[in-house]
Amino acid sequence: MKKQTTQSPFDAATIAKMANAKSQGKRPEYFSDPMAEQHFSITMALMAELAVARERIDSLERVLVSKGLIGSNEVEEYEPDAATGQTRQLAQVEYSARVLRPLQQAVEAMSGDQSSMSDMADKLSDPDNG
Amino acid sequence: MKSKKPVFDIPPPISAAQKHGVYPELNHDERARMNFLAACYRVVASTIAPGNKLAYETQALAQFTQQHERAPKTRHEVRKLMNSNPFHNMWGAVRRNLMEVRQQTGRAIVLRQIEELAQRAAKLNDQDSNLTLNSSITIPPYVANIDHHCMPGSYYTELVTGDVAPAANYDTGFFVTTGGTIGGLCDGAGLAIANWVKTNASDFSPKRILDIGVAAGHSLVPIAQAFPDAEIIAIDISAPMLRYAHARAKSLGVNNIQFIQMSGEDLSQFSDSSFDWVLSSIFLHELSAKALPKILKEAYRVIKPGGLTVHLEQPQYDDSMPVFEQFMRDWDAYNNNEPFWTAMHSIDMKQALIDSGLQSENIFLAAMRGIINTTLFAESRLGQEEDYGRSAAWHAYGAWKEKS
Ligand SMILES: C[S@@+](CC[C@H](N)C(=O)[O-])C[C@H]1O[C@@H](n2cnc3c(N)ncnc32)[C@H](O)[C@@H]1O
Repeated sequence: MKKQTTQSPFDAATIAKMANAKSQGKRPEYFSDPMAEQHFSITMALMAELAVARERIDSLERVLVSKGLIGSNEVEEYEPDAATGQTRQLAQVEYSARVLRPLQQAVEAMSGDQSSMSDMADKLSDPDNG
Repeated sequence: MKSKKPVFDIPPPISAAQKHGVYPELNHDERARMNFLAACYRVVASTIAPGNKLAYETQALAQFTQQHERAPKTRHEVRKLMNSNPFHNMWGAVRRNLMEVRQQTGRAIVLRQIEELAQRAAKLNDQDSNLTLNSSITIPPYVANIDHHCMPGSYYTELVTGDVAPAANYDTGFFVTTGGTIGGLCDGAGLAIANWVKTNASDFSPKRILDIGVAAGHSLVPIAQAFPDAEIIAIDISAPMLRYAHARAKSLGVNNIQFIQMSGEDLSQFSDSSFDWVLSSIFLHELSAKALPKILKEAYRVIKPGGLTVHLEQPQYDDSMPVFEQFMRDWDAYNNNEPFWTAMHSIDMKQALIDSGLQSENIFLAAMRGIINTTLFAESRLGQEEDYGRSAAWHAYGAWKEKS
């Protein structure tokens, strides 16, 4: 697999966390139950990830078929070696961090300023206060 | 007769975005994640969003009328009412989450190559007198305290030396949230402005132009290309945006823009009557009620007599706009971290321009539609359905300064 550019002072696990960071201020509520809120956000994240996985599988199959390389059972029977298994686990960690973003942000929401956008809207519309 | 026209345009994949010298590298899955977002936004806008109006008309309105014996009179009344409507909340939850996934996706892309991006920008910017940064600038509270469009760290946070990551994130996501409708370089607004000036003021040939809040330069680059002999000055308070914008413009072959880190609130570096044209694009809604008149006054001061000012924004709310539409257009204020959006869009812009010093009879309102490269879409089909505050259909509030 072609190596992607990684020129960053942050390691992969740190990036996984930083990329998921919450934006400032109180998050709006769409459901009456905070747990339903989290649950729904996880579902949406999964929706994205499934779309990505499907696109990747589609790319793979098209490449293999176009090269006449695919054997009907080869993918089904594949077992990674130790190093590959480790690399794939890192991908799994990044994946879980993405899907669990709403819970990470719930943790972040428990500290720092949580002013609502309504408060900000009032504040910013006051000519003496913005 | 069978119509061949699809119910909606399929948004182009991110691979159709036009690349430039500081465009980040996207791997397969990052591209796929962006492709999912563009597609999902489109489905939500065309298939699900219309349900808000139905929910209002068939569910919420009756409830309100029964209680108050009248219909809601303001967008705020509609908002309070709709905040307890299950359909509206479900749609809102989807939209908010897509925005959060979009930020996650963009940040993951730029954070892993943050140094490479900084180096690429530095190489293009090295020793270039067209880029002037000022590290002692104060970030105004309306930027410092708000992560606009759920963008953690906002436009200005720097994580490494020479950082351009916030701009690179903004740039890649812009193509996706606009679904390609404003072009492969996201320059539809700038093309519209340039085209309007060329058409409506054909003998106006500005020698010196100022753009306030240039961001990544999406709108300014086509204006600079339309006026290649003009000396253009672009200001922004964010160093990462300016580094990126300069490098991006240069790699696109545009060299007549000088980028300066400066707030529009204080243009004291420029003397009175020193610009033929002062403009801003999709900018005013991210200010505050205190900053906006200050910026308009400064703009007035630096425009030459007979010069032009143009500010492009989504249409203002006025009495002719139904309160439901105002409420929908306000969604981003409360749900996408754009809190000044609601106050800004109810300002009487004509009065605001008069207050800045301009003469009432010289003020105009111009409708501007996004202009795009038709290789991405059949242009005729664009903008047919209302996507409240997101369509490539803007208003320009402007004026000619009286000749002395
Ligand atoms: C939405 S973007 C503008 C988009 C850009 N004009 C375009 O058309 O592509 C807002 C920009 O305004 C900048 N900004 C905010 N307050 C400012 C101020 N007082 N003076 C100059 N720039 C400011 C932000 O840093 C950000 O880059």
